[in-house]
Amino acid sequence: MENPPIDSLDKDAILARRIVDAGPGLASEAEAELYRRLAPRVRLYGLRHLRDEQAAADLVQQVLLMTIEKLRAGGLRETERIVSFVFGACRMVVLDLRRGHARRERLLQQFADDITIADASADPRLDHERLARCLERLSERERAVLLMTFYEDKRAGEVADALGLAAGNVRVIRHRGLERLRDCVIGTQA
Amino acid sequence: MTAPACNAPIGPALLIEYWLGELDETAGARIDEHLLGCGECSGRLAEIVGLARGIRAAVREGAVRAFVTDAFIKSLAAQGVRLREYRVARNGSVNCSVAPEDEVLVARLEAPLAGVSRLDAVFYGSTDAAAEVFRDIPFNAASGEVVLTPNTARLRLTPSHQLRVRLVAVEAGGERVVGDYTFNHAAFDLRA
Repeated sequence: MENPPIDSLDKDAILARRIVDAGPGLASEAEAELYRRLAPRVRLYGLRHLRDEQAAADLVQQVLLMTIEKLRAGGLRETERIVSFVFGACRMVVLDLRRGHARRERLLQQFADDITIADASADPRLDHERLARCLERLSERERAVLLMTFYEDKRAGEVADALGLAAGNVRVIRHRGLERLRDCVIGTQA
Repeated sequence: MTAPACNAPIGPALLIEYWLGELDETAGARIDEHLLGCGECSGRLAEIVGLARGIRAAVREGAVRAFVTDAFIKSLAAQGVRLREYRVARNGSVNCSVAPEDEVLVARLEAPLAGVSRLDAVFYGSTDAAAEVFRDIPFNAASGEVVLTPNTARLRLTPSHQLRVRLVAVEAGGERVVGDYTFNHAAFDLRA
């Protein structure tokens, strides 16, 4: 897991290099493509750390505007380090958002006019009726554990306490249930 | 053209633990950075997040039947979900309905559960249809109740009928009836 996925990084780095080499505002296609690639990942980071759709959307805009501005200004010469830069920016902005020091408006005023903002949503929009039918196909314990876990993103220990089970047992049921649900929703039987 | 392959993919179990914040800070940060650089693994996480969102929607729409806990019902109430609750004594009955404003129905079946390690629920309809058996339902023995959220969306469309629920403890020596519960469901009459 420590090793970065080389192909994906290469593509991001190539786009970053194009932006650096072109000069400010002259590589709009590369900027849009880099935004399109990174936005869903930054959004997931935001959802994971902020647990809020709107805050995650704010994070995407702030981090990617900072990133593209950095590249435009030639401030990131080693473009293969683009993901490290984005990671650092994510951490910083999340701290800012948590402190309530949003700088969104300032950044948007400064840079947003000439940067295309893409839809960052990457998680598939599921057919809810199908998902509900698939939930009913799970065992009683799998269904209860998935509902209790994902309705409020509860950890295994909390669900285990509520059901009088061991946390390890809840993790096993949770993993198995989610895999079965995924197979049913994505598969042909529902 | 195929998507670029990740040379160190993160498995789904670890992705779930990451998503729920079960990992320590160092492990979580390693996965943060990996996901920011990896479309393949972040795509798998997005799938999990999509399923989680679908589960939340199904619960809020009352579209799924489940045996849950009192704490879960309290968290629904705290989030503003409109609940209608029926408490049924052991071997008792209740008249029940679903009003248009109800989002989730809750049935609390009072039952002596001390010493019970496995419980099945058997549903008998008022027709000749075969009984439905739900095996190994989740419960908290200390609570003295089994908490059921029926598929409210489906029940809303169902005509008046009677449903009997039998709780059966499965023990080493065989099965033992814990209690019978009767629901006299009246379809909601908008003209009333």
